[in-house]
Amino acid sequence: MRAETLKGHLDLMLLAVVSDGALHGYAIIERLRERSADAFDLPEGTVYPALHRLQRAGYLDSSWTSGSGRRRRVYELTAEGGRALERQRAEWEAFAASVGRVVEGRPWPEPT
Amino acid sequence: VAGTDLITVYLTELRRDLRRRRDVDDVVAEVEDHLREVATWHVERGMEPVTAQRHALGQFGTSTIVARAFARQDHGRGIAMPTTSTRRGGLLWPLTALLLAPGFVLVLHESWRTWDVGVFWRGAVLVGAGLTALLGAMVLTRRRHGGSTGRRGTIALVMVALSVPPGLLLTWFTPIWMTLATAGCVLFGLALYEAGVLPRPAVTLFGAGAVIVTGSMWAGGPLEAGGDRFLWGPPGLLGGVAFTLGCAWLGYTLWSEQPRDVGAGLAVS
Repeated sequence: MRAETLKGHLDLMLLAVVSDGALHGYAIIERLRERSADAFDLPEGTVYPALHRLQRAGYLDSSWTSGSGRRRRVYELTAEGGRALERQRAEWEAFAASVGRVVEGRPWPEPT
Repeated sequence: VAGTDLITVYLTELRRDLRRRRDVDDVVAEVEDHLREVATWHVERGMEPVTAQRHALGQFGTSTIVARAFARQDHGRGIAMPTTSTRRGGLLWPLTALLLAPGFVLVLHESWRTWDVGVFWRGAVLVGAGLTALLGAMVLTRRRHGGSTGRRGTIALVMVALSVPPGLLLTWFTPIWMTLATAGCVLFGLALYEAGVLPRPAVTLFGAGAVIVTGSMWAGGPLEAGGDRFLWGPPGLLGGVAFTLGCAWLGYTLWSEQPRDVGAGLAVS
């Protein structure tokens, strides 16, 4: 899948992955790859700017640890990030359901 | 090449591209952690170390792609790299001198000698075009170096921009626009000099040349009283040559850089 297709959805996916617990950048990218079954083909390096932006927005927090002689930055979801994740997840589910109905030709539910 | 640490080379390139970011050390440390982790993973599965590093870098994306992704997240702040447009900006520097020099001669010498309005307006158009080229050259130079000229560079751009309309429409009142433009050149030169991003002798020639030419105008007094004697004498000539050489040098420096936006990939936002 082209990286262009990811535009607008990367934030949601990153927040969803980090909601599992504190993770460093490489682990986040690995989880993203595993959960998508390698569907997204994007340069790994472009994920870091998105993580930094989410941190600036207050959705992620980060801290540095040391290991193997290297510094490692670990990201975790903030309370605000959790709320943003729920909001974006709900929007995505509504959007996906709507597109699904159109693509599959299913009728809209009758108003009650 | 055997023994080459490709990751170190890559990190040096990335650091250069992102050097204006305050958190450049953290970004580079984070990227290094990622790349070494991936390379180690490949080595543990039997890959040669250099090949493993090459794979890790291939998956990560070129430093240009990554720097661009950071730039997009930060609205272009802090990125410094030669692109096709900044390279073309190199042509605007010598063009500035090539337009201003004949413009000066037509407005301040020929039109006085001949009292020909057509000659005057041809000169005015050349002066206006020269100042516009100067403004364009400054904008692209500033972009090339990731805004490293800071607030002083911005103020300098505004000063030169403000000198363009009077330079075209009120060309006769030389002190109005020439002083403003020269002050802008000096301020921009100081910002470039301090940032150390372009050859300092070139910056010095550019700024000093502008000051000497304008100083020659002021030193002579009113034009009708022979005030242009310094402008067309050794001081003005010296200033003009210095300004032209400075512009040519700055232009050559920008033009000779290899643009790095050719074939660059996309960045996800």
